Formats: sequence, structure tokens, C-alpha cells
Amino acid sequence: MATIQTFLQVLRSFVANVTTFWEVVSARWAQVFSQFVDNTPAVSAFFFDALWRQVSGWQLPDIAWVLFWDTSWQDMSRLWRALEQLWVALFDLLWLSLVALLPDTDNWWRDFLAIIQSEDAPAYITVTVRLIAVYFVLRLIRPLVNRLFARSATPQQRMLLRRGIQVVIIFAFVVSSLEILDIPLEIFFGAAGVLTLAIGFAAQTSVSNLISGLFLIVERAVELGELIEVDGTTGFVTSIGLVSTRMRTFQNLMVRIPNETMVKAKIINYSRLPIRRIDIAIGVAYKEDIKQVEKMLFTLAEDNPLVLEEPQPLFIFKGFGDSSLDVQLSVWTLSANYLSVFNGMQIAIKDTFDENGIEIPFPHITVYTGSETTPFPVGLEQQVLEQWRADAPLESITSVNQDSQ
Amino acid sequence: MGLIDQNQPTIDDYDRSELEPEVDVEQVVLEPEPEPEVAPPPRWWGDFPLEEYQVGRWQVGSMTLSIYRLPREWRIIYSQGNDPLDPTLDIDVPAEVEAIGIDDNVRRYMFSQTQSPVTLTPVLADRPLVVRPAIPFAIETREEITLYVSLPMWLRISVAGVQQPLYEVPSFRPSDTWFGDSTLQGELCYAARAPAQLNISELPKRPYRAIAPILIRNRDEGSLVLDRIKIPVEYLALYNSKETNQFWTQKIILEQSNGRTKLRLGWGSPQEADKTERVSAPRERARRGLDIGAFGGIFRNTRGLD
Repeated sequence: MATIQTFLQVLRSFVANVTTFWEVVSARWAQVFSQFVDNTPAVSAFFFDALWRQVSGWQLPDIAWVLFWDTSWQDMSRLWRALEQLWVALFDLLWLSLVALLPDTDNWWRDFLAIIQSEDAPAYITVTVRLIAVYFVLRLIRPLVNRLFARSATPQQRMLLRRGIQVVIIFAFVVSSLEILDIPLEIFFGAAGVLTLAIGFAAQTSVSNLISGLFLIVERAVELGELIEVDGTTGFVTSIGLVSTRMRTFQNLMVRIPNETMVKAKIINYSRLPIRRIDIAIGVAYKEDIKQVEKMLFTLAEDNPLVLEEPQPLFIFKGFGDSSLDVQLSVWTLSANYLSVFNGMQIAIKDTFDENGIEIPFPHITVYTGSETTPFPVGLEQQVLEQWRADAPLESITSVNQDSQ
Repeated sequence: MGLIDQNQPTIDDYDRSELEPEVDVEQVVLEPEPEPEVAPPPRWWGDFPLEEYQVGRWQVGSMTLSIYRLPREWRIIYSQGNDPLDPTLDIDVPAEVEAIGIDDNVRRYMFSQTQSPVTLTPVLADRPLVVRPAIPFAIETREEITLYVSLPMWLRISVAGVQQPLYEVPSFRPSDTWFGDSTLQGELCYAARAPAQLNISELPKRPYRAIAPILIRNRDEGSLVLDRIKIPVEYLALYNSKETNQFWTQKIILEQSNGRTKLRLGWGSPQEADKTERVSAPRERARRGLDIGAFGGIFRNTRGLD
């Protein structure tokens, strides 16, 4: 109990600090702003109008997205669009009613701000105004972070920074609002105490995922936009949340992988290193000159501009196979060119082998239809067959068959 | 100055008397009927006026380029060959309209109104070029040598009324290569097929390739083994010698000291060239004493069998 009380005390002092900070900042803001409004009411109206237009035009990460940590904002966009419309309507209504209520003076802006800042302002108005401010600030964070750190940070780092800032702001807002509205924080903590046990059991997986997520972010095994393979699924990383990681496969399927799995599983990262080697297995007939084949393969690798000259292509004579001499050609290429080199080289190899009469053998299947029938006559062309028939009359064949029976 | 003149072969050492027979020998190989008085190759670059519905065709080496002008469209059609030293040089402006071939790449650019002329500017590659000497050799400490390298050029296509160039086509697309200490770190470069030469007359002379003289100084203790050299072509300007139509770059000075390679560039065209004019600026401006790590980069530990 003692520890909880100490914790509450710390929290309360933190809240008090945040609130004071907030008050100082907003008072300062009000002061500056009222001077500005005093001098040029028309300009300020224009300024506000412009600001609102600008802000409402942004495509937005959203409070909802931040709150539902793990849900990327595309998923939330439908809900969010509805909320946004509601929000705009609410904002207009609030604004109009405020303007209607305010005394009819030139400096109604200042009066309005004065009302908000004064001690006897209704708590819900203060909270609402702050909510609006927080909403704008949250909207500003994405473009601001993206612009400021466009070059110095990777998309991954920008995302983390953005989320960090958003969480701090929301936390500060929630705590200070509760304070203003006179809702004692103890209620939550009391309830939390009772629920801790239940939640602890229920949230085991989530917590495990959460901690795995932190490890994943710190370890930087995968980053946004990279091509990875996890548990047999290959795709581009679209988001790394605290609970799960999402990827988009080549078939354009969204795959969600719990972070716990990410931490335990073997991850192959195809994008991390700039170049990679492509191994092409080839079989040639036993009669072929292997030196000539090697020379031909190297020429092909040299002729393809996407195949790297250094590290040099590699030729490996893998062994004497069942029906072919097995060789391997390994060529290096830029990771991004993988597919075109993989296809291009194999097509070129087939074409060149065909041109030079080099045989690529493959196992043949002869169909045998059972012991009751005679085997298929395999491999005889019509002309040869007729010649054969002329040479050996039918009777002799049947007699041979009879003999064998 | 005097010292350098004594040690370094100058343009006079290579001049006509020695050079001419070799040029003839080379031409015998290339062309069945050599002409003793060789006229400089025609100028394939510069401004080319084109009327609407006219087409210009250039065959530069193994690359074929056609540019169509339509009232509202510029159309670029090109195809690339495999021979980096194809001696063909054929300019046909305006030419007959031909059907598009299978291997042709087509690019279209739309405008409200196209304007003549179309301009072809020779430029150097957009990535560094890695070149090897025919046989690797070592430079002893406190020694210096000059190597000559033949560089492939790109054709930058721009049209009147548009600031940005429309497109760049390589006269020959060199193979990619990797230059770095390992497969983990390094830089994507082009590989020059023609080896670096100690003697300028051994270089293939083509009107669509530029010659770059490279002076390499070894200020390190111990010898410097030259196996591969990375040439930072993005810092080089192009010069054209008026009489022979040969392209040149500035002299490149690579100085190795304390394990670092400092890059310095000569002023203007090199002394080996005759009267020249500057035809294109470098893609990037070089900082003084830039450390470019131009030597080495051999993969010793990636050759194993898996």
C-alpha cells in the first residue's frame, strides 16, 4: 500500500508540474495572441481561417491510431473519417455558440481567451479547448517530424519518434484534464489494483508481445520497407508495432506476425545487404565438353550488364548426377536486380545451349500399361517402322512372341 | 618543372613520328582499306534542328538512337549493342522514318508545343568506373606513373524550351561491379572492359569515348599494388579537341599516403590533348583533397565453395 501511495504522490506532483507548465505556456500564448488581436483583428481572423483550412486539409495520423497502438492508420481510416466529420461539425457548433454567447465587442477573441484562462471558467470548456489544441498539435507532428528529419532519420526512426511524442502529449493531456475535471486519479488506480490480477493473466500474451516488440525495435533486425522472410512468409515490412509486425506479401496479402514469433523465429532479411549471389543449377549431358560449357557460362555472365564483374562469377562442377553432369553458376548482382538477373541468365543459358547444340538432359518416362499387353513401340519413326516391317514379316514376330510364351 | 620534363614523357615524345604508324596498324585491323589522310570523325554531338514530323538518327558505336519530333511530343527510341568498341559512327538528320524494332526502348515526352533544336551533349558516367591494368603491377614507394584510360560516354538529350534534359543514353552500357572491402560494404560502380594502359597509343580511339590520364603517386612506405582503380568520373569535365574530335577529361591525380587516397584534378584539358573546348561540366563538384579510397577492393574471402 505504501508503495502505491508513494507512486500516487509522485504522479500527483508530476500532474501538478504538467498543469503548471501548461498554464504558463497558455497564459503566455494568450498574452502574445491578445496583443496581436488587439492590433489587427481582421488579419487575425484571416490567419485563423487560413490555419484551419490548412490543418483540415492534412491527411492525418490520428489520435485513434496512437491510442490503438497496434492498429495502423489505414485500418482505422473508416472509423476515423466518420470521427473527423463529427469532429468538424462539433467544432463548428462549439465555435458558433461561443461567438454567439460572447459580448459584442471588437476584441471578442481576447475576451474569449480571458474567459478560458480565468479561474471560474467551466472546466469542460477548458478541457475542450485543450482537446482542440492537442488535436492540432498531434496533426502537426507527422509533417513536422517528417520534414525536420527527412534526411537524418530512416522512416523507422521517424515513426518511433512520432509515436513517442504523440504518447507523451496524450498522456500529459489526459492527466491534466482529469485534474481539471476534478476526477481523482485514485479511482483508476484503485480499480487497477483489483483488476491487476485478472488483467495480468489475460494480458500475458500481449505483454510478451509488447516486450518482444521493444526488443525488436532496439535490435533493429528488421526495418520498415525491407523484404523479409519469417516462418516461410515473404513480404515487405509495412509497420512494426509494439504488439505485432505487419508485412505485405508479393501476392498483396497483409500478414500480421506477433512480435513474440518475430523474436523467436528465424528471419531472413533480403534487403539489408546491398548485393547478393544467385545460384543457378544446370545439368548437361555426359557427352558435352565441360570446359566449353564453363567458358560459355562465363561469357553469358559477362554479357549481362546487371551481373557484377566483381565479386566474380563462380563456376562449380558439383558432380556426376544420375542423368547429367551437374554444374552450378553463381553470379552476383544488386539485391534489387535479383529477379531480372535470375530470369535473364536462365533464359540466356537455355538459348545459348540450344544454339551450340549442348544437351540439357532430363529423365524420360516410358509408360508401361501392364503385363497383359505388349509394350509400346518406343522411338521408331514411321519410315523406320515400315522398313522394319518389310524386313521382318508379321508371322515371324508373332512366332517369336509365341515362343517366348 | 624541369625535373618533370625530363622524367615524364611529354606530348612531343609521343608525337606524330612515333604515333602515326601505330594508328595505321590499328586501322588495318579495323577497316579493310585504310586511308593515309584520316579526316576527323564527324561531330555527332551539338545542336540538331528538327522540323515537326522529322526524325534524327544517330548510330554511335553499337548504340542506335532516333529522336522524333511531333507537334506535341518528343519521342526517343534507342537500342544498345554488345560491342564496346564498335567503330560505327553514322549521323542522319533528318532521316527516313522507320518502324520500331523489337529490342528498341521507347520513351515519350509530351509538351504543349515542341521547339527545335534537339541538343546532344556528351557526358561521363553517373557512377564511378572501375578499371584494371592489363596485368596488375606495383608502384614502389615515392614513385609515380601515368596511366591512360578510355571511358565510355553517355548522351544527354535536351530540347529547346526545356531546362531539364529529357534523358541520358549510354553509348555503351558497361557492366555493373562492386567496389569495396567486402560484400557488406562498398559502392556500386561500372566496370570498364578496356584495360588501363601505360602508353597512350595502345588505347582504342573512338569518337564516343574519352581519354583520361591518371597520375598515381605512392607516398606510402611500401609498394602500392594496382589491381583495380576506381575512377571518380562524376567529378570530371569533358573536353573536345577541335582537330581530332577526341574527347579528354582533366588529368586525375591520385596520391596515396598514410593508407588514404587523395584526389586532385588537373586544371583544364591535359597536356596530351591539342586545342580543346570544354563540352560538359562535371556532375558533382570535387572538394579539395577528397579521400576516395581508389585502390584495392579485392574480395579474398568470398571466393570459396559455399
